[in-house]
Amino acid sequence: MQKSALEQQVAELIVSELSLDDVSAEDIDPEASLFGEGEGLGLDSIDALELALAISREYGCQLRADDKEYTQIFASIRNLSQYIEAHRTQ
Amino acid sequence: MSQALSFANVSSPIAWQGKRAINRAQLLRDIAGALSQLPEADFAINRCTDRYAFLVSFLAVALKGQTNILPANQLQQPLADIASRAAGRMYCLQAHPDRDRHPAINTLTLKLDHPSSTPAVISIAPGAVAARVFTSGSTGQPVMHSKTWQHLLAGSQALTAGLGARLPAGASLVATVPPQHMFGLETTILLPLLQELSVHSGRPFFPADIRAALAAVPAPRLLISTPVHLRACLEAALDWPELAGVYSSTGPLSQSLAQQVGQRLACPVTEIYGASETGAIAWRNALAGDPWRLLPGMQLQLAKPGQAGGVLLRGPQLSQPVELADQLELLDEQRFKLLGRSREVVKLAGKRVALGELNQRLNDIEGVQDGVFFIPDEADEDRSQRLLAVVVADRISDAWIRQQLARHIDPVFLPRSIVRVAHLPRDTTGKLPRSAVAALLK
Repeated sequence: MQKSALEQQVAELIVSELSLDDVSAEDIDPEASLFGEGEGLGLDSIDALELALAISREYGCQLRADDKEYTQIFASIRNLSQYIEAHRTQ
Repeated sequence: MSQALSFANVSSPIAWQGKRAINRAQLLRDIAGALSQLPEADFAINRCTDRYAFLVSFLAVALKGQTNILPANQLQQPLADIASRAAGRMYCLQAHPDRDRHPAINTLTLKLDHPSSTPAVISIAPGAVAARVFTSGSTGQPVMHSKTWQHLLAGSQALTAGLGARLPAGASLVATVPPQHMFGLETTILLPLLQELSVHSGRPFFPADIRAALAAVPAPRLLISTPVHLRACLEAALDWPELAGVYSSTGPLSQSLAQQVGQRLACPVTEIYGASETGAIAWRNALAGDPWRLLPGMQLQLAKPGQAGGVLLRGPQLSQPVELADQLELLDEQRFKLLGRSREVVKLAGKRVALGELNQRLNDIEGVQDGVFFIPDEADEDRSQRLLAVVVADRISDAWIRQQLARHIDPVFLPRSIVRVAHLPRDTTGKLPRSAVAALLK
């Protein structure tokens, strides 16, 4: 699956920040789900909080789930990248 | 006889949806409106995520003589599992009717824009089982506990009386804990019914969400949270609105984290101790690391007189004494120290120590962001098992960690190896199942 430059960066950030040793950023499907058991990367809520901190450092934007569940804006690398693109300050 | 719950001032707010205040008169009309939408059944699986929708439906379900089943973990406990644990007719209340359907369980979303012109009277039989809660256990299978209406009220009244001025009148609560969890139920649903308190209807997740929720409600503001979320808030580069207090529960809050939170948010930090079986039973000033203070009307007694450790709790929120899962050192009738989980006592070379205490010492070390001791599986039971520590820390050495631990604990309990990880697989309530740590070490 083809990834944009930002999507590739975000995939690398996830792999390095969460120390996903057995996953390569190149292999992550940008549309695969990040959360939930038995599918995608299987991240949990603590990963989401960690990742939010890393994204605020890297792109100068604070993640907001607002009234949605955090798993929605974080659903895939593609969704997350779109969110960053719209809110980044650096 | 059931006595109706009455409000001294029906025009005072009880909830905030965004910046919009919802007063108590509105709550009573919304409950009456919700009552007419509920089907006949024995149980309502209450998965409402909006806290105001939960408050309305929780009371409507109880008023209809039904029992709220409160799944501890929304995403991980499927309807099929809940359905297998209660015998009776049931339906499910949730915001997204399409998610997680079950062939035998009707799912519905309450319409809150249908208030009745006649307010409901909150008159619930004291002995009625208003809720069943689950222990979100690290012990494996979830266990269900029944809560009668009078026991729920008695527990929250004791909490109110114990906290006193730490719950300022007119305060607005913002909570990261779900209302389905016993800590969230007592603090964010029952307390506002008993006192002039109001609650933000959201369940903010990211630090920026928590900050926005706090900014949306009027002062004095209280944040009801867990160590996991407090740490995230601390690390986020954000300015915080003025706070009157922070409450933490569901997992041990180290004194160093409490102090950083107190400094950053410039307010008192109170830790609440409790369990799903018992509700809140004690509180302490987390900044000072004081001993725990038992809530009024509750009593602790050693399970085996003369022998430290296992403790029986009696209280107005319980129909019978409950043996606590933790080891306590009773200082006097009102105060105690927490020594750790009874099931987690480490014995080495004839010495014993609570795993909880080791974990506390580890997390108290400056530079340790998170950490846990782990007892490796040994095939030969007679062999002494040396401990392992799994630690999140980037700026300090293994030698320094051991040196700091050695100041407080016996050398036999020092970790033989220290494994560095980026983070520990805790759940949202801060719990860390042993199996998850074991998987991490594989």
